[in-house]
Amino acid sequence: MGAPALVEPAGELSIDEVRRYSRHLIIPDVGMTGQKRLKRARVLCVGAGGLGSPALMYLAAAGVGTLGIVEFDVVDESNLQRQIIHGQSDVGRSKAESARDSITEINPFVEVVIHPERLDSSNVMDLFAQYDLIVDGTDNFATRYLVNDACVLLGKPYVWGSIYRFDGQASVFWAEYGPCYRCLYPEPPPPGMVPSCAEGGVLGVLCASIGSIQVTEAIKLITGIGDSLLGRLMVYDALEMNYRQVKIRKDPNCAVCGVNPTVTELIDYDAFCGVISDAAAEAARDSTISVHDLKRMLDERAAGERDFVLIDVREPIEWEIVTIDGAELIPKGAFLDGSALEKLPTDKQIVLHCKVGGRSAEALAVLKGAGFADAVHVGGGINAWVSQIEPEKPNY
Amino acid sequence: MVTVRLFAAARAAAGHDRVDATAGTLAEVLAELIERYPGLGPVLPRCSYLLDEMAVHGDHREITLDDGSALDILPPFAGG
Ligand SMILES: [Zn+2]
Repeated sequence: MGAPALVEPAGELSIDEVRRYSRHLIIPDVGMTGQKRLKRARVLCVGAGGLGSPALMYLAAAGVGTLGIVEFDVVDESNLQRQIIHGQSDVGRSKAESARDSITEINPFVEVVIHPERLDSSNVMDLFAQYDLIVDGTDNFATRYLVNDACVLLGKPYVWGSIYRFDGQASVFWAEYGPCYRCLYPEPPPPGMVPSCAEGGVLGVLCASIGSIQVTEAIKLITGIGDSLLGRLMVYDALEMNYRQVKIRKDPNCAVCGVNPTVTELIDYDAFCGVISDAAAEAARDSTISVHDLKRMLDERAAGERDFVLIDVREPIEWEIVTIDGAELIPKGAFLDGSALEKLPTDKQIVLHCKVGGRSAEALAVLKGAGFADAVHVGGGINAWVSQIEPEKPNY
Repeated sequence: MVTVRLFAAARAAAGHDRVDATAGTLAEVLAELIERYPGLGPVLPRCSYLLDEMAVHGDHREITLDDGSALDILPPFAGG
């Protein structure tokens, strides 16, 4: 979709490079110029895990001149079923170092730069600024929104991929020329509602199916050939064995790349995504209601058809900003120290909410532990309530 | 009629990758889908909805799907 080649060609290729890349050089669309663009390209892979493994290996083999790796984790035996850049003898080693060694073995002409740190708001801008293109192979929503927002703010393209069990998705996001990740997924899912690969599993080879799409798109963007996935989502179903396409238009109401963006600098992504403990995720798994469920329950309560107690577990300062009519305030801290429990009726259902669903999930875990078996919390919290039920109220 | 395309966990829950639904508000369309395919109930709250290729925001009762429009239902996942 209309974007120029991302990278200018490097100088001459050596004799050894010409021999190595000969199968690329004889493709007219790639040729000497395309290969020189790859040589000059600087690509940063966020994560050297399931998607990062095949992505880094094929980017290296293709002759991308500089490969950066952001990865702080160490190789675990349970990684080896899919993270093929690491081997048995790497168990316990730094993934970044293990990946670097594999890349050097595949192609010694690649310069590898390892960033053995956790990507966060404090380092992402400096890191991304050093690269032409980002490949997102992270494993959680908070980092995915962080990667997206940083790329939008820096004007960088990135190749996105995501996997779970037998399902994969891939796209290219580049706000200057098309949609971004938030144009597709404006809000993170309610905390605890989407299991990770560690919780739900993933077919190992799925990493290759999606990682290879990411590398294909990276090569096309760098060399300026073909039609990129910008503005299209590729959805892969390994069981049905089909690829379906979803067209995505740039959203004028997008919070970060829209006409009047509300996100103009990096935010607190753990808070945005409501990152929660394992106990809270467990408690929330079958006990999360939607804001539409809550609306229906409140209507039924007003009609005298049902009874329950709605507790807002946010802080008093947030209660001042906006509330859901019919809620009572008991901040999360009172659940964690146990003092909330004696204030609660034992003969009525308890419904908890907070801002986005993270704190209410934590309080829910306490309630479940204290025997409130039918307690639930509201996925998406008051943010979802305001955006979907009462848009005239303020969001914050 | 509107065309609804279901992906990943939403497809699995409904047992179909494409269904027709009666035109109306998004809230009405989703309620009809849940009634026909109860397995969608727990899946839909986490999904993103694209109406004619554009993400929807705000109150589902205020979003109208006209005859012939296309709704894509996409459950997010973040595994890597
Ligand atoms: Zn956007």
